[in-house]
Amino acid sequence: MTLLQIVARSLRQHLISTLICAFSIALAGGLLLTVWVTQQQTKRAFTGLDGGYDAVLGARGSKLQLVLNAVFHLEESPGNLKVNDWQEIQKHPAVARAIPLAMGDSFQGQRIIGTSLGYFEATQSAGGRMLRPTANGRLFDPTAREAVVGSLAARKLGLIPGSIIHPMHGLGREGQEHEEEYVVVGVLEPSNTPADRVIWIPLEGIQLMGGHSAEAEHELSAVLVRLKADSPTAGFLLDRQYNREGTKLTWAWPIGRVMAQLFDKVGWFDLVLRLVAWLVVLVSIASITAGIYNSMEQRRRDVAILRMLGAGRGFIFTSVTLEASAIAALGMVGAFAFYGVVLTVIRTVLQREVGIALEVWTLQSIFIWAPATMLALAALAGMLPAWNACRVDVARTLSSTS
Amino acid sequence: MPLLEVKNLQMDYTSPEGELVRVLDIHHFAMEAGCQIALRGSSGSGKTSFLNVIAGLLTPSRGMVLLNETNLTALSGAERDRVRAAQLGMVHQNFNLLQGYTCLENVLMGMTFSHQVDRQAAARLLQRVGLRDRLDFFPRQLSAGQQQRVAIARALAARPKLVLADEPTGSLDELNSKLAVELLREVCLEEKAGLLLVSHDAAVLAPFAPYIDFRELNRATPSVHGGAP
Repeated sequence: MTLLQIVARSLRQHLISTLICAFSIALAGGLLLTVWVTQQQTKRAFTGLDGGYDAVLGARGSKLQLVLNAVFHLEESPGNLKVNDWQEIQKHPAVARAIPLAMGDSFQGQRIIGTSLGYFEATQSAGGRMLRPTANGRLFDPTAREAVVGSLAARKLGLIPGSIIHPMHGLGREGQEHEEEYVVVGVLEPSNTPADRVIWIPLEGIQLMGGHSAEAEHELSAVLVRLKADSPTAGFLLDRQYNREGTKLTWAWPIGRVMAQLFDKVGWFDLVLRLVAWLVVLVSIASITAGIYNSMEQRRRDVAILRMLGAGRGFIFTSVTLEASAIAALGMVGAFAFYGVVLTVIRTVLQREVGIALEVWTLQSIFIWAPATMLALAALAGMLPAWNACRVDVARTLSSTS
Repeated sequence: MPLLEVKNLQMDYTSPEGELVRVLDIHHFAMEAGCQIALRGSSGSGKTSFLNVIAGLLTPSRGMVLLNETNLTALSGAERDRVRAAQLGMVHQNFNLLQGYTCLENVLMGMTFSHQVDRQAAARLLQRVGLRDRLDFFPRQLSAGQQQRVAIARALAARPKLVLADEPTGSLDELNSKLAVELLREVCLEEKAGLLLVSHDAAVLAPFAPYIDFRELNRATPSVHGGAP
């Protein structure tokens, strides 16, 4: 009989206790993995997913609101800027591209955004590719009432090339329906970006939509800006020009930093979540100590017999600590299953609501250090009962049973 | 040179009342290899302590225990564990079998710590004690007599030099007691192991006649406090 066989047998002998402890480790480990990965990946997605743009130019207001609205298609637009403002920044020598966005309408709860064809050339998917329609579709004709639909929006609303949509005023489901109708001519390939949730129509479509005010024809909601690579100071200069010297526009630059500031503001919440996860981990680890301790009466006799047969104290100590680690290992298998299920749900919800896709099974450092830490903590927790087991009075225990 | 020699062995312990009680006071005891000796002693006479000292499970206050010329009392705990694993087998009144292990695994466990695990040899031993068809049975599935036979097989599993039997028939009826002692003696003879048996039961001791009265060997009178520390 090897040490591992003896440990496995002991686990089987105390099956109920083993399963309860492993289940508690599974929940704790799963919670730790879920909290960690969700926090890390959402932060990475929100701070790194800029679609290939450096900045957003919009009406005077909150930079965060501007970025959330123009890049992530969340929140209300903080206001409009004039078409002239777009034309002006387009001419700026440091600007490589300036893509106009006009918003304010929706179809069955999905945003409709007016833009130029340049948007599809300039915007990058999460994998760094261009946004392209699937093989059976094409991009819209800027002069026609045509629409291109993001993959998630298409799936949700059942839109395919040839489908007709009736824009509604506002972003809710109960706005006033416009008279115009648009024909879907293409569905975009999934990009794992917020663009997947949007219905795209020509810029003029929004500007000239019936029922919009006359000023709308000369207004935009935001401009996505990509700076030239050889203009490292342009961002600062434009920041000074619009944010400090100007009074009517906001220059949100760089997009990643604006989003990072959001995460910094809610950093304490992450900390609390992590602390809770670690507390649950510690409680579950303590359950291993309690589980082994509770079965100590029964183990005492087995330990005495093993010692009588020649097992050294080191062997006994190792077998009990190994048993604690084995429970943790078993629990971590369950933890990964728990994590897989929960994160898949979170991924689905986030993709549907925000358009960002979490990577559930991409190898991450926590997949290594979390199980290693759990096993080490469990071994540590097992040391107390292991020490107790080593101190069993063999002669007395054997005599008391004989 | 004797297989086992005990010299000037004394063992004291402090009772719960704080009194120093001498459990063992044995001037000299020796037995040759392959020899079978029985000690007669009543409950609380210190005979179990004596066997535990020989097994290295208790440390005497003074004196020495020589097993195969090795002074067990001078060894570290780990060294005594190794000696116990390789050279000693033990049989107890209540068998002390591992309940979560089958008969075969219990016997294998007797080999594990001397690093001579041999599944076929373990099965042969169980066959020898009449349990060929019980290899995969757990102790709880066996009668008391059968459990004691497993304990006998396990005690001999590592081919020990000496088997220590502490009231080996205490939980058995008369017939099974007789059979168990006969079996123990036969198997020890076959395996060339010495046998040191302690019992209070005259019927068990009879085949060993003449046996040694433990009261004559042990000058201490620990029975006031029940013997075993």
